[in-house]
This record gives sequence, structure tokens and C-alpha cells, in this order.
Amino acid sequence: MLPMDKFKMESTMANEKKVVYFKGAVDEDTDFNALLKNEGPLRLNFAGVTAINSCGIRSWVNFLKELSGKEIIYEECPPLIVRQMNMVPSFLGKAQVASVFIPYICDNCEHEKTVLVTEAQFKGGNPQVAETIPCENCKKGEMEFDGQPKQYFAFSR
Amino acid sequence: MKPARKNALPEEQIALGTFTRKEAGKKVALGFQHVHSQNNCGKEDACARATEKAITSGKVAVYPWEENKESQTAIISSSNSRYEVIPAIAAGLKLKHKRGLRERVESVLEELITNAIYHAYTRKDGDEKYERKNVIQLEKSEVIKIKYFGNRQGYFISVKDCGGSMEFSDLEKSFGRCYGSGSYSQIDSKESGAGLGMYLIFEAVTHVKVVCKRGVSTTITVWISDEHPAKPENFSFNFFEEE
Repeated sequence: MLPMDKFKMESTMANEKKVVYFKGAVDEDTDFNALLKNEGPLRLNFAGVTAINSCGIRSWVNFLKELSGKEIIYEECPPLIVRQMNMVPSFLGKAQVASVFIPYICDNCEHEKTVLVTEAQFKGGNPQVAETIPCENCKKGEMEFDGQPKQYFAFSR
Repeated sequence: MKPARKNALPEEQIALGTFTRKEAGKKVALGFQHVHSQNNCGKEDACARATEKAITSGKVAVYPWEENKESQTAIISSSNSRYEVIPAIAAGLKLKHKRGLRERVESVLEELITNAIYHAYTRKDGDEKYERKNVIQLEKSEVIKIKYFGNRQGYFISVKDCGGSMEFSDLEKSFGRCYGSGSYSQIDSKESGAGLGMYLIFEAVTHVKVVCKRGVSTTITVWISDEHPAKPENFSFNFFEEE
């Protein structure tokens, strides 16, 4: 979590829907108020979040209360955000999770990779994801899911 | 060393068993200064034995996971210096290609360090000296000292402040908020952090040891296992107050 990694929000249109991209570190200085100006469903992309501390979690949980009643969708959540969704249920609140990244690590060369999976593959807490995939780096080893699927997708139950 | 559970016998001060984190957190909230969870199929828990011995002798326990002669050190002199120190420690622990572990170690360091900076030091009126929104330059007598090392089994981190303002009742309250009924909904905007930092640390590490010397120092030491989290029940929490 470096000063140059400071939080910023960027909005774009994707398939005629507005997506707000979160980038950088979420901490005590993060200001989410710009989101209040958005009308309609809020689609939030977490792929660019690099770190989050307890103050950042608290800020987000408190800010979610201000968005109460609004349709909120989380997409492309990296493992560090998935961890927060599992540890602090109010971090997710009533938002829908459209997609998450799952981490894999090679048992031979320790190459790491994240793979994007959609809601259809984990809805209801019964994940339908590959526990191993071939390693594209060493081409010898197998990349294992770096975690336990049921624990990783606990938020979806 | 003062037992938190007043009038309790030494063996009644330790919660021993196979717990989930939530169950263990509730034990702390109920006043247990020592919680040992293990699922070693009947094998002796060396950490629990060390705790029992410490309580009986009135000393602070030294655990097997703490023993190493080659720890490295780092200093935090300002709130911004953590942005260099934390990645440097992760690099020193050779976590470059271990993203999951690296994120966990960096997150724990962030919480331990900010906890020390913003909660350890108080003014004469008892209020916290530093606010989170400000960039803080610590005085020479306030620098935070970090020790760390790694081996095949995992990673040791120790963060020591020179304030000594933590009390066990702080942990009882924060664990009560985070693990009590209606958990997580009690992240209170009125209170700084609401104890979420210690909760995140407790959830992320295998062993936690807190040693407080009132008005002098607080040292929080953790061990983060390198194992796949296949043994979630094997962990411990211990709080010692030195007189």
C-alpha cells in the first residue's frame, strides 16, 4: 500500500451499462462520495484494488448504508476482496457478486495465476470450478486452487 | 502477571479445545486471556503446555514458533514509512512469488503498525495522541520496532510500541463486537477502527501473543503458517500483562 497507489474511481460504459472501476488502495483516506451522484444500478469493478485495511473496510461498510435500497453489483473481485467478503459479511451487504478471480499456484514452479469465474459457477455456495489446471509457465506441473473452494465461496451461500 | 478471569485457577484461564475462529473469538470476549485450539489427534500441544507453565510461574510464555536467532529488524518512524517498510519486509521474507501469503503478511503488518501508531500513544488527558487522517512523524521515543523472520514452516512478525496503552478489556470489547451476536453489523462509525484490525489479524494468523507492560510497551507477535489452510483449527491467542 504505497502513496502512489492512492485510491481512484474511473467510470466507463460497457454494454450500455455504467461501470465504476476502483483502483489502488482502500484506506482511511478513501472517499466514496462521488458514487452518490450515480443514478440507476451501481456496477463496481474491484479488479484494480491493490490493498485494503481495516479503516478502508469500515469506510466501505458505512458508505454502503448510504446506498441502501440501490442495486449494487460487484464484479471482477480479486482474492483480497473475496477474503473481505468472507470475513466481514457487511462488506458485501446486499450486493450481488457477478464475478470473482480465483487464485491458482503451480506445485512445480510456484507460478501464480488468477482466473475469472462468473456467478453461474459459484452461486449457492456450490462452486463448479477446476481444482487444478495445467501450468502454462513450466508446462510440467499442475496449478492448484490456492485455497479451499467451499471456504473461498462462503460469501455466495 | 494478572489473570483477567478474576479468582480463576490457572487451568481455568485457558480455553482448550477444537474451536472455529468465531468460537475462539467469543472465548476472548468472555474473558479468556489464553485460547488454544488444536486438532492434533491427541498429540501434545506444546504451545498450550508453555502457556500453562507461564501462568503457573507468573512469567510470559516463550513459544516454539518464536524461537529463532536470525530475525531481521525494521523501524517505523512515521505513518508514511510503512509504505516502504511493509514491501521491504515482504521482500525480505521472499514472498515475491507467493501472492496469497504476501497479501496476508502485508495486511497483518499494516494492521499491527497502524494499531501501534494510532492507538499506543496517548496525551496527558488519556485521549489518543494521533489521528488517522494525519501524516504522523513519531518522536524518537515512540518509534515502532519490528522483528521478522521466515522459515519453511512460516513467518514470524513482532511489532513493539513504546506506549503500552493496550488493555485486555480493549480486546474483549473488539472481539465481542466482531464475534458477538449480530457480528459485523457493529462496525461502529463513531469509534476509530471498531476493533476490526485485531479481528483481521486474528483471522489471518496461526498464533498471536500480546504482551503489555502498562505505560511502557505493547508487543504483538504473530506466526503465519506456510501450510495450506487445511488445519484451520490449529491456532492460539495469548495475552500477558507484565507488571
